[in-house]
Amino acid sequence: MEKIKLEQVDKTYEKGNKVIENLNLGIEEGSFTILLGPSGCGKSTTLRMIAGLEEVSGGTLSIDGKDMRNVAPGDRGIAMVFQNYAIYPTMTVKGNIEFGLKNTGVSKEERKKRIKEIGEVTGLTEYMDRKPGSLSGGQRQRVALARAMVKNPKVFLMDEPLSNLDAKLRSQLRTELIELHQRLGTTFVYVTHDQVEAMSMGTKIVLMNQGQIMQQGSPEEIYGDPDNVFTAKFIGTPPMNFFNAIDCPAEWCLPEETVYVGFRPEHVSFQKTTGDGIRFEGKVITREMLGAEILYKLDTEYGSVQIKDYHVSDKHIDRVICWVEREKLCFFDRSEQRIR
Amino acid sequence: MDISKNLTESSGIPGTKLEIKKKAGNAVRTMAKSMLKAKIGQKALPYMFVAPAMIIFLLFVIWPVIYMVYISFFDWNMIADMEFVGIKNYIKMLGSKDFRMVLGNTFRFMLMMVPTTMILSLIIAIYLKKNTRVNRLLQNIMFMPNIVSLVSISFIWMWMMDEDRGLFNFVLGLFHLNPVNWLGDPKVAMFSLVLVNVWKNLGYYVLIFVAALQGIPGYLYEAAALDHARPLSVFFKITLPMLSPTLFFLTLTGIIGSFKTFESVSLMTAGGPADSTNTLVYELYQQGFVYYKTGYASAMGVVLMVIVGIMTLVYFAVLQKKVHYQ
Repeated sequence: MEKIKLEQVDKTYEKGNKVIENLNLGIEEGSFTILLGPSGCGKSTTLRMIAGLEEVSGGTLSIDGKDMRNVAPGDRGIAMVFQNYAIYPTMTVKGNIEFGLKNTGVSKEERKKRIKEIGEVTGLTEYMDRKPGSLSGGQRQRVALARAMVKNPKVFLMDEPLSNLDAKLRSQLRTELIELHQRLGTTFVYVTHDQVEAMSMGTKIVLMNQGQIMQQGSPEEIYGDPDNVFTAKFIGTPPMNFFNAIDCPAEWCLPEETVYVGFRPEHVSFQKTTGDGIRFEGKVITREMLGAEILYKLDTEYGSVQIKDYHVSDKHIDRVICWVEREKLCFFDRSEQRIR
Repeated sequence: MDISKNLTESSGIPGTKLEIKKKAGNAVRTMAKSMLKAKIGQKALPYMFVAPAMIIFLLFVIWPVIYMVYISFFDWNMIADMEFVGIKNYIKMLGSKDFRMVLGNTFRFMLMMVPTTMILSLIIAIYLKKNTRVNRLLQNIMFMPNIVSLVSISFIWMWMMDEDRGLFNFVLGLFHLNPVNWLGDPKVAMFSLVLVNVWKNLGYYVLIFVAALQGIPGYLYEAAALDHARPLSVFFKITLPMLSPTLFFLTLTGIIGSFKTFESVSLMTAGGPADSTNTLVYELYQQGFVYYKTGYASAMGVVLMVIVGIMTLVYFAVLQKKVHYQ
């Protein structure tokens, strides 16, 4: 069932610039939906519209089938975690967590009980009487999470909640969020520009660009089966390699109207593959040993190509010959859409 | 082989080992000297920079204070010889009914002035918070009284508050209300003075409050909206605590400022009628420069300083814990 539904939603700011046009999006109940895209693509705006912090300029936004047009943020049954945490600096940790409960008239015993629980879950029990100023970034993020969780919301909205943390803490909290989602089973809507976060956490990814949805689907679909050049280039590190169809070294006929031919770096092989595919020569420019794999950058007559090689004991230098299987190739037309 | 050794062990002619050693020694010494100089110079430099300000401060603030304390133990009229009287001035002052009345007036002025200015300016600041062109203009207009001298302001208000020809009573007359003797009625005069001073200071307070309000990050209000906070709750739980450093600063300077009020009293009421607006500094001025009781006036100055000092300390001790600094 769709928990949140956006139908033909537009967003226009005061000065008349349209950020989002005709957006249609359904967010499944209990899903961990990631709004992913480069900065300025409208993902945060979309999230803020769901939260009620931004007005919807056109179209309808509904939660649980109810139109949210005139519903205040506090009445939407949602909780939000902000990028900069937005915890109240003048209140203690406990005060921060309790504020929303007090405002909605939760009884004192109930508040006490819930705060105790949440303190244990988030590991904040010993910090309850501290001011946020004396906490570390990770602890502050936990406060923000605790404040959201304690309200038992129907939907969690998160706006790049991990981007202010260092890499180690980020990956730790990433796993914690996945666990949290599995335990609570509530709907999570998570905004990020980091595709690694998106791939690792999301059950569904909505990839946006310039106010439009480029593709939505499971991480596997988004990665393995891109609908268009943008998706293929945005997802994956390094991104998909592209050749122009005209000079693609294929000895068979490409699908009609093919303009671009793409293939993932890990699908390139230094050994001859069975069946027909493409074969090209190149010169190794760089070789990066990443532990489990080696990343090669090649200069070829068709442009530069990046290759992921899992045979770490092999060392390729200078001129090499590469093969890509035919079924690993993706074909795109003039408007950069996938030809299937 | 070492040339200098060859050159000789005997003579003291230049170039000998001894001479070279000496020269080297001198060089080292001069180097050390200049290094020391540089070090001293480095340490002295900051003091040199603050020296002009410090000299003026010592000359025109610290020295007069010390001298004031000194004179307060004498009977002196600025002309005749100083006569040491010990703490007689203080005893006389503390026993004086006039002094207690003046002190009472000063406190009354402060208690009317500070809360009125604070509350009024905060309300206006909240209204003017949004940074639009109209609001900036209004804010500038409100700030204008603050750059006009209090003397001019006092004269303008004196005219407006004039019993027979003033604007205020003219307006009251339009509504068939009885005229008020704004500056001549002992019950009203203090209120009139407060009105003028509030009016003058309002723009400054508004300016600072607006800046402080604009400094509160918007996401806190968004978080509050998601937390279902009602407007009053937002104001008391978020806005006010976030403003606490500003409130603290303005209240403190307001208290000190109202304790030192002088110009408007001197020009508009001269402490009258019936001493109802006679405040500490005006009385001090009267004693010192009208009756030439310089020793007594100095003693009052000392007491004023002590009162303001104690109030500041108490204020800090009681409230600073509640102030949230970022």
